[in-house]
Amino acid sequence: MTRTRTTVAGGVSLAELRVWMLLVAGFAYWGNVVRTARSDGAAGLGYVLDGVLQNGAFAAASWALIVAWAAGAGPARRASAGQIAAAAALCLLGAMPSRQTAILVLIGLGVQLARPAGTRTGRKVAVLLFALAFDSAWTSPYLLALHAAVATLDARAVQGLLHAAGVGAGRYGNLIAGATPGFGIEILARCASSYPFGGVCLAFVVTLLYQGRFPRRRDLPWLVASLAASVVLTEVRLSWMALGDADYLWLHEGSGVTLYTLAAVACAVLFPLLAARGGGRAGGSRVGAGA
Amino acid sequence: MTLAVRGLFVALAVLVLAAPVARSGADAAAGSALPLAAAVAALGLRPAAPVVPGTLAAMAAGCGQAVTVAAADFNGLGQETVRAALALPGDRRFVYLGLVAGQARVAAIAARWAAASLLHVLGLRRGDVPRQVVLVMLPPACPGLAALDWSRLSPWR
Repeated sequence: MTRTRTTVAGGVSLAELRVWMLLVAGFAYWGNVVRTARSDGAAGLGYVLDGVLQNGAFAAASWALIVAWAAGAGPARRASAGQIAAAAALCLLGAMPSRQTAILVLIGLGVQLARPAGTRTGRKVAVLLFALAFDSAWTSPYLLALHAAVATLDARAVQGLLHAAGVGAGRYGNLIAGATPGFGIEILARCASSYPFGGVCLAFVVTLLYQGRFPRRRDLPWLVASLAASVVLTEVRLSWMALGDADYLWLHEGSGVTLYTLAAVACAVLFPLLAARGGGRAGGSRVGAGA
Repeated sequence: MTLAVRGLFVALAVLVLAAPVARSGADAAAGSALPLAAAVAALGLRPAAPVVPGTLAAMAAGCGQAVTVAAADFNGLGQETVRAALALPGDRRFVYLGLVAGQARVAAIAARWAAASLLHVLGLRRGDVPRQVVLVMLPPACPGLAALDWSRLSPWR
């Protein structure tokens, strides 16, 4: 870690301005996460913790890295009046409590930090902000119809897997039934194999950056492999759940949830680690912690 | 000058932190829309045994056949029930946020949903934006039922 000057004589530095903006962006992001958890029916003080936990470990890890790198996210030179006004306008947008505005704030701040005139640390933070924004947009209600369409394809894949395993099952749109008499599952948007893509991308970026590697085009095959592994894992889980009531309950509400989560996290971390190793061997550029 | 800028950002941070709390309170106070069964009853229809599992059936005075009502969420919930209900004979009505159409007009539904969402974000619309499209299957024997105000099953409010 390097220390960075955040104040300059006679005004606020760009570094300090970026710290303020990151603080407000963090409040907008987590405020929206907690508000969504509350509107989903959670009650009491526990909803705050529930909201944070349900949002995923990689989002928390991203913000932990952002906090660690915040001081170096902007150059030490003095901020102009225009830059202060633009920052204030972006922060004011964050005061509108909605997922859309939180996404806009993350992207707006990311664009400012990613500029060539910015710092190297700023660009790392920008990548994290873009990944967080993509994850938020990908899991938003706007794309539910897309995931619901994918869920119908998942039902087809599940039926194929069950047939391959010698289990006869019928498919009606997004419904799989008949593996056990009188039992069926309906695959909804949030169960679709496409739904975790945002989280997988976020995990990929966070793990790479934590390894000291900036994401590059060469990492793309590893990202695709990570997404494919996530799809396979989801199809296996859905097929298992379609077998019967006991299997469904174990994988949907029982200890099977922990097993699935561990497998998903292991997959999400494995591929960026392999990408980082491959990049290291090839002598690829590694990013330092300093600005 | 420095102090004023810092004061401005402290105020903005507090505003951003407080806004979701205020928004949650307003949404809770607004409550949710009338349940579908209650909305059907409010149209003067009596509950009946559904022909398609997972749907609502209701009888209107002077009509010997039941009206079938089903709802499909944007997330795919109820999609198959709606598909099964569409196989029933009769005239169909798709209802969403005040829109009543004979066909599932995706563009019109999406436009209403987008407009309602925008108004909600701007604080000009209270309560959550519904994510369910309602299907009403009118029995062929009673064409007069088409005149009922079906928009009440998913009102714009």
